[in-house]
Amino acid sequence: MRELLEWLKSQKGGVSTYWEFQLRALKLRTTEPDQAACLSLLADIAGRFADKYYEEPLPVDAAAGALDRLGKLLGKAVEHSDADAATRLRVLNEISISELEPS
Amino acid sequence: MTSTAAKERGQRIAEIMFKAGAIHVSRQQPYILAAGWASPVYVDIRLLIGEPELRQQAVALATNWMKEALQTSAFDALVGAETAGIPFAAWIAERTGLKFRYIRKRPLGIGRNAQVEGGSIEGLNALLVDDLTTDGRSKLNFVRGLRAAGAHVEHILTIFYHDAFPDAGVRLGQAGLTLHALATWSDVLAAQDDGQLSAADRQEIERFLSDPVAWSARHGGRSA
Repeated sequence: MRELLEWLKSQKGGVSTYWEFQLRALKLRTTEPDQAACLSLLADIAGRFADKYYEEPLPVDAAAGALDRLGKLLGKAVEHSDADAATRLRVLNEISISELEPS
Repeated sequence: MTSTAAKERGQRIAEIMFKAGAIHVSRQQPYILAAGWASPVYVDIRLLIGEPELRQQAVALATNWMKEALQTSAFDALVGAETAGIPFAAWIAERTGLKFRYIRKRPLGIGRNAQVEGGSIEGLNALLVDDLTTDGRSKLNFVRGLRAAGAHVEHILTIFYHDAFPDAGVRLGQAGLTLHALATWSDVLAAQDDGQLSAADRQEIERFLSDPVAWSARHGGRSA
Protein backbone atom coordinates (compact mmCIF):
# COMPACT_ATOMS: atom_id res chain seq x y z
CA MET A 1 0.00 0.00 0.00
CA ARG A 2 2.98 2.31 0.49
CA GLU A 3 3.73 2.22 -3.23
CA LEU A 4 0.09 3.02 -3.95
CA LEU A 5 0.33 6.00 -1.62
CA GLU A 6 3.52 7.23 -3.31
CA TRP A 7 1.84 6.89 -6.71
CA LEU A 8 -1.22 8.80 -5.49
CA LYS A 9 0.98 11.65 -4.24
CA SER A 10 2.28 12.11 -7.78
CA GLN A 11 -1.21 12.53 -9.25
CA LYS A 12 -3.18 15.69 -10.05
CA GLY A 13 -6.59 14.15 -9.41
CA GLY A 14 -8.52 14.09 -12.66
CA VAL A 15 -11.16 11.38 -13.01
CA SER A 16 -8.59 9.07 -14.62
CA THR A 17 -6.60 9.13 -11.37
CA TYR A 18 -9.52 7.49 -9.54
CA TRP A 19 -10.12 4.86 -12.21
CA GLU A 20 -6.42 4.01 -12.14
CA PHE A 21 -6.39 4.03 -8.34
CA GLN A 22 -9.33 1.61 -8.33
CA LEU A 23 -7.54 -0.79 -10.68
CA ARG A 24 -4.28 -0.61 -8.74
CA ALA A 25 -5.99 -1.11 -5.37
CA LEU A 26 -7.97 -4.12 -6.58
CA LYS A 27 -4.87 -5.66 -8.15
CA LEU A 28 -2.87 -5.11 -4.96
CA ARG A 29 -5.22 -7.41 -3.04
CA THR A 30 -3.50 -10.43 -4.53
CA THR A 31 -0.04 -9.41 -3.29
CA GLU A 32 -1.22 -7.91 0.01
CA PRO A 33 -4.08 -10.22 1.03
CA ASP A 34 -3.90 -9.02 4.66
CA GLN A 35 -5.04 -5.60 3.42
CA ALA A 36 -7.67 -6.88 0.97
CA ALA A 37 -10.69 -5.50 2.83
CA CYS A 38 -9.11 -2.08 3.18
CA LEU A 39 -8.05 -2.01 -0.48
CA SER A 40 -11.56 -3.00 -1.58
CA LEU A 41 -13.11 -0.19 0.43
CA LEU A 42 -10.66 2.36 -0.92
CA ALA A 43 -11.24 1.11 -4.47
CA ASP A 44 -15.00 1.49 -3.98
CA ILE A 45 -14.66 5.07 -2.75
CA ALA A 46 -12.42 6.02 -5.68
CA GLY A 47 -14.75 4.30 -8.15
CA ARG A 48 -17.82 6.10 -6.83
CA PHE A 49 -16.07 9.44 -7.16
CA ALA A 50 -14.93 8.67 -10.73
CA ASP A 51 -18.41 7.53 -11.76
CA LYS A 52 -19.94 10.70 -10.33
CA TYR A 53 -17.62 13.06 -12.18
CA TYR A 54 -17.21 11.06 -15.39
CA GLU A 55 -19.95 13.09 -17.03
CA GLU A 56 -19.94 16.16 -14.83
CA PRO A 57 -17.46 19.03 -14.52
CA LEU A 58 -14.88 18.59 -11.78
CA PRO A 59 -13.98 21.98 -10.29
CA VAL A 60 -10.35 22.41 -9.25
CA ASP A 61 -11.21 22.81 -5.54
CA ALA A 62 -13.28 19.60 -5.52
CA ALA A 63 -10.45 17.78 -7.28
CA ALA A 64 -7.87 18.99 -4.78
CA GLY A 65 -10.11 18.18 -1.82
CA ALA A 66 -10.86 14.68 -3.06
CA LEU A 67 -7.22 13.91 -3.70
CA ASP A 68 -6.34 15.14 -0.22
CA ARG A 69 -9.09 13.03 1.41
CA LEU A 70 -8.12 9.87 -0.47
CA GLY A 71 -4.47 10.44 0.40
CA LYS A 72 -5.32 10.83 4.09
CA LEU A 73 -7.48 7.71 4.15
CA LEU A 74 -4.81 5.65 2.42
CA GLY A 75 -2.13 7.20 4.64
CA LYS A 76 -4.06 6.20 7.75
CA ALA A 77 -4.48 2.67 6.40
CA VAL A 78 -0.74 2.42 5.74
CA GLU A 79 0.10 3.83 9.17
CA HIS A 80 -2.07 1.25 10.93
CA SER A 81 -1.49 -1.69 8.60
CA ASP A 82 0.45 -3.59 11.30
CA ALA A 83 -1.69 -2.43 14.23
CA ASP A 84 -3.83 -4.68 16.44
CA ALA A 85 -7.14 -6.04 15.11
CA ALA A 86 -9.30 -3.53 16.98
CA THR A 87 -7.36 -0.57 15.58
CA ARG A 88 -7.47 -1.93 12.04
CA LEU A 89 -11.21 -2.53 12.35
CA ARG A 90 -11.68 1.06 13.49
CA VAL A 91 -9.78 2.29 10.40
CA LEU A 92 -11.83 0.03 8.14
CA ASN A 93 -15.06 1.36 9.60
CA GLU A 94 -13.88 4.93 9.15
CA ILE A 95 -13.01 4.28 5.50
CA SER A 96 -16.28 2.47 4.88
CA ILE A 97 -18.35 5.56 5.72
CA SER A 98 -16.11 8.04 3.89
CA GLU A 99 -16.68 9.80 0.58
CA LEU A 100 -14.26 11.94 -1.38
CA GLU A 101 -16.47 14.96 -1.78
CA PRO A 102 -17.59 17.02 1.23
CA SER A 103 -21.05 16.07 2.51
CA MET B 1 -13.30 14.88 -47.50
CA THR B 2 -11.95 18.34 -48.34
CA SER B 3 -10.42 20.42 -45.61
CA THR B 4 -12.78 23.26 -46.54
CA ALA B 5 -15.82 21.05 -46.00
CA ALA B 6 -14.43 19.85 -42.68
CA LYS B 7 -13.74 23.41 -41.60
CA GLU B 8 -17.23 24.58 -42.51
CA ARG B 9 -18.73 21.61 -40.70
CA GLY B 10 -16.60 22.30 -37.64
CA GLN B 11 -17.67 25.92 -37.48
CA ARG B 12 -21.33 25.00 -37.89
CA ILE B 13 -21.05 22.47 -35.05
CA ALA B 14 -19.32 25.13 -32.93
CA GLU B 15 -22.14 27.58 -33.65
CA ILE B 16 -24.69 24.93 -32.64
CA MET B 17 -22.73 24.39 -29.43
CA PHE B 18 -22.87 28.11 -28.69
CA LYS B 19 -26.63 28.24 -29.37
CA ALA B 20 -27.15 25.32 -26.99
CA GLY B 21 -25.07 27.04 -24.30
CA ALA B 22 -22.76 24.04 -24.32
CA ILE B 23 -19.54 25.95 -23.71
CA HIS B 24 -19.12 26.96 -20.09
CA VAL B 25 -16.26 29.24 -19.08
CA SER B 26 -15.18 29.52 -15.46
CA ARG B 27 -12.38 32.00 -14.96
CA GLN B 28 -12.48 31.85 -11.16
CA GLN B 29 -12.85 28.12 -10.61
CA PRO B 30 -11.17 26.08 -13.39
CA TYR B 31 -12.16 22.50 -14.17
CA ILE B 32 -9.91 19.50 -13.85
CA LEU B 33 -10.14 17.30 -16.93
CA ALA B 34 -9.99 13.51 -16.72
CA ALA B 35 -6.22 13.37 -17.20
CA GLY B 36 -5.59 16.00 -14.52
CA TRP B 37 -5.15 19.04 -16.78
CA ALA B 38 -6.78 22.27 -15.62
CA SER B 39 -9.03 24.05 -18.12
CA PRO B 40 -11.17 27.21 -17.95
CA VAL B 41 -13.84 25.57 -20.11
CA TYR B 42 -16.30 22.74 -19.71
CA VAL B 43 -18.18 21.51 -22.76
CA ASP B 44 -21.60 19.88 -22.32
CA ILE B 45 -22.63 18.36 -25.65
CA ARG B 46 -25.67 16.79 -23.97
CA LEU B 47 -27.38 20.17 -24.22
CA LEU B 48 -27.64 19.58 -27.98
CA ILE B 49 -29.76 16.50 -27.38
CA GLY B 50 -32.62 18.38 -25.81
CA GLU B 51 -33.26 20.97 -28.51
CA PRO B 52 -34.96 19.56 -31.63
CA GLU B 53 -33.62 22.08 -34.12
CA LEU B 54 -30.07 21.98 -32.77
CA ARG B 55 -29.87 18.20 -32.55
CA GLN B 56 -31.30 17.84 -36.05
CA GLN B 57 -28.64 20.19 -37.39
CA ALA B 58 -25.87 18.40 -35.50
CA VAL B 59 -27.05 14.97 -36.59
CA ALA B 60 -27.35 16.14 -40.21
CA LEU B 61 -23.72 17.30 -40.09
CA ALA B 62 -22.63 14.04 -38.50
CA THR B 63 -24.55 12.09 -41.13
CA ASN B 64 -22.89 14.16 -43.81
CA TRP B 65 -19.50 13.17 -42.34
CA MET B 66 -20.64 9.53 -42.24
CA LYS B 67 -21.57 9.51 -45.91
CA GLU B 68 -18.13 10.85 -46.83
CA ALA B 69 -16.43 8.37 -44.50
CA LEU B 70 -18.38 5.44 -45.93
CA GLN B 71 -16.68 6.06 -49.26
CA THR B 72 -13.38 4.93 -47.72
CA SER B 73 -14.42 2.81 -44.73
CA ALA B 74 -17.06 0.11 -44.76
CA PHE B 75 -18.88 0.40 -41.45
CA ASP B 76 -21.52 -2.19 -40.60
CA ALA B 77 -22.68 -0.70 -37.33
CA LEU B 78 -22.72 2.45 -35.27
CA VAL B 79 -22.13 1.97 -31.57
CA GLY B 80 -23.26 4.61 -29.10
CA ALA B 81 -21.12 5.00 -26.00
CA GLU B 82 -22.95 5.22 -22.68
CA THR B 83 -24.50 7.65 -22.13
CA ALA B 84 -24.46 10.68 -24.42
CA GLY B 85 -23.11 8.78 -27.40
CA ILE B 86 -26.20 6.57 -27.52
CA PRO B 87 -28.76 9.06 -28.88
CA PHE B 88 -26.33 10.52 -31.41
CA ALA B 89 -25.40 7.07 -32.73
CA ALA B 90 -29.07 6.08 -32.91
CA TRP B 91 -30.05 9.19 -34.86
CA ILE B 92 -27.13 8.80 -37.31
CA ALA B 93 -27.89 5.10 -37.74
CA GLU B 94 -31.49 5.97 -38.51
CA ARG B 95 -30.40 8.37 -41.24
CA THR B 96 -27.75 6.08 -42.76
CA GLY B 97 -29.62 2.79 -42.45
CA LEU B 98 -26.69 1.16 -40.61
CA LYS B 99 -27.03 -1.26 -37.72
CA PHE B 100 -27.06 0.24 -34.24
CA ARG B 101 -25.67 -1.03 -30.96
CA TYR B 102 -24.77 0.61 -27.69
CA ILE B 103 -22.04 -0.14 -25.20
CA ARG B 104 -22.04 0.21 -21.44
CA LYS B 105 -19.10 1.62 -19.49
CA ARG B 106 -18.69 -1.83 -18.00
CA PRO B 107 -20.42 -5.21 -18.32
CA LEU B 108 -23.71 -5.48 -16.48
CA GLY B 109 -22.32 -8.05 -14.05
CA ILE B 110 -25.40 -10.29 -14.06
CA GLY B 111 -27.08 -12.65 -16.49
CA ARG B 112 -25.11 -12.82 -19.76
CA ASN B 113 -22.83 -10.06 -18.45
CA ALA B 114 -23.25 -8.05 -21.63
CA GLN B 115 -21.40 -4.82 -22.29
CA VAL B 116 -22.74 -4.43 -25.83
CA GLU B 117 -26.50 -4.28 -26.34
CA GLY B 118 -28.75 -4.36 -29.41
CA GLY B 119 -27.53 -7.64 -30.85
CA SER B 120 -24.27 -9.37 -31.65
CA ILE B 121 -21.37 -7.20 -32.76
CA GLU B 122 -19.14 -10.14 -33.64
CA GLY B 123 -17.43 -9.73 -36.99
CA LEU B 124 -18.92 -6.29 -37.65
CA ASN B 125 -16.90 -3.21 -38.61
CA ALA B 126 -18.04 -0.80 -35.92
CA LEU B 127 -17.77 2.96 -35.60
CA LEU B 128 -17.82 4.07 -31.97
CA VAL B 129 -19.81 7.29 -31.49
CA ASP B 130 -19.61 9.54 -28.43
CA ASP B 131 -20.36 13.14 -27.57
CA LEU B 132 -16.82 14.29 -26.81
CA THR B 133 -13.25 13.25 -26.21
CA THR B 134 -10.84 14.66 -23.68
CA ASP B 135 -7.98 12.28 -22.86
CA GLY B 136 -9.36 9.27 -24.77
CA ARG B 137 -9.22 6.82 -21.86
CA SER B 138 -12.95 6.17 -21.76
CA LYS B 139 -12.91 5.57 -25.54
CA LEU B 140 -10.21 2.95 -25.06
CA ASN B 141 -12.34 1.28 -22.44
CA PHE B 142 -15.30 1.11 -24.83
CA VAL B 143 -13.13 -0.17 -27.68
CA ARG B 144 -11.70 -2.90 -25.45
CA GLY B 145 -15.26 -4.02 -24.71
CA LEU B 146 -16.21 -3.97 -28.39
CA ARG B 147 -13.10 -5.90 -29.45
CA ALA B 148 -13.67 -8.43 -26.70
CA ALA B 149 -17.14 -8.97 -28.16
CA GLY B 150 -15.59 -9.65 -31.58
CA ALA B 151 -16.06 -6.28 -33.31
CA HIS B 152 -13.50 -4.70 -35.64
CA VAL B 153 -12.95 -1.14 -34.43
CA GLU B 154 -10.50 1.31 -35.96
CA HIS B 155 -12.42 4.59 -35.95
CA ILE B 156 -14.15 6.79 -33.38
CA LEU B 157 -16.45 9.72 -34.10
CA THR B 158 -17.15 12.42 -31.53
CA ILE B 159 -19.04 15.66 -31.87
CA PHE B 160 -16.29 17.60 -30.11
CA TYR B 161 -12.65 16.94 -29.25
CA HIS B 162 -11.10 18.90 -26.40
CA ASP B 163 -7.81 18.94 -28.30
CA ALA B 164 -5.83 21.40 -26.20
CA PHE B 165 -3.70 18.58 -24.81
CA PRO B 166 -1.95 15.88 -26.84
CA ASP B 167 -2.92 12.83 -24.76
CA ALA B 168 -5.86 11.44 -26.68
CA GLY B 169 -4.44 11.29 -30.20
CA VAL B 170 -1.30 9.50 -29.06
CA ARG B 171 -3.13 7.12 -26.74
CA LEU B 172 -5.74 6.14 -29.32
CA GLY B 173 -3.15 5.88 -32.09
CA GLN B 174 -1.18 3.35 -30.05
CA ALA B 175 -4.35 1.24 -29.89
CA GLY B 176 -4.78 1.33 -33.67
CA LEU B 177 -7.58 3.88 -33.52
CA THR B 178 -8.26 7.06 -35.47
CA LEU B 179 -10.29 9.79 -33.80
CA HIS B 180 -12.60 11.87 -35.97
CA ALA B 181 -14.10 14.97 -34.38
CA LEU B 182 -16.69 17.17 -36.03
CA ALA B 183 -15.36 20.20 -34.15
CA THR B 184 -12.31 21.17 -32.13
CA TRP B 185 -11.18 24.31 -30.32
CA SER B 186 -10.00 25.99 -33.54
CA ASP B 187 -13.59 25.71 -34.84
CA VAL B 188 -14.96 27.20 -31.63
CA LEU B 189 -12.63 30.19 -31.83
CA ALA B 190 -13.48 30.76 -35.49
CA ALA B 191 -17.26 30.48 -35.00
CA GLN B 192 -19.81 33.20 -34.34
CA ASP B 193 -20.58 32.83 -30.65
CA ASP B 194 -24.03 34.42 -30.84
CA GLY B 195 -23.21 36.65 -27.89
CA GLN B 196 -22.67 33.65 -25.62
CA LEU B 197 -19.08 34.51 -24.76
CA SER B 198 -18.06 37.73 -23.06
CA ALA B 199 -14.88 39.39 -24.31
CA ALA B 200 -13.18 38.36 -21.06
CA ASP B 201 -14.27 34.73 -21.51
CA ARG B 202 -12.99 34.64 -25.08
CA GLN B 203 -9.68 36.17 -23.96
CA GLU B 204 -9.37 33.54 -21.26
CA ILE B 205 -9.96 30.73 -23.76
CA GLU B 206 -7.40 32.24 -26.10
CA ARG B 207 -4.87 32.57 -23.23
CA PHE B 208 -5.53 28.96 -22.31
CA LEU B 209 -5.19 27.66 -25.85
CA SER B 210 -2.01 29.63 -26.53
CA ASP B 211 -0.20 27.49 -23.93
CA PRO B 212 -2.54 24.93 -22.31
CA VAL B 213 0.18 23.20 -20.29
CA ALA B 214 1.40 26.42 -18.69
CA TRP B 215 -2.20 27.55 -18.06
CA SER B 216 -2.93 24.20 -16.39
CA ALA B 217 0.14 24.43 -14.18
CA ARG B 218 -0.79 27.96 -13.07
CA HIS B 219 -4.33 26.87 -12.14
CA GLY B 220 -3.80 23.73 -10.07
CA GLY B 221 -3.62 21.14 -12.83
CA ARG B 222 -0.90 19.03 -14.36
CA SER B 223 2.25 20.71 -15.60
CA ALA B 224 3.60 17.90 -17.77
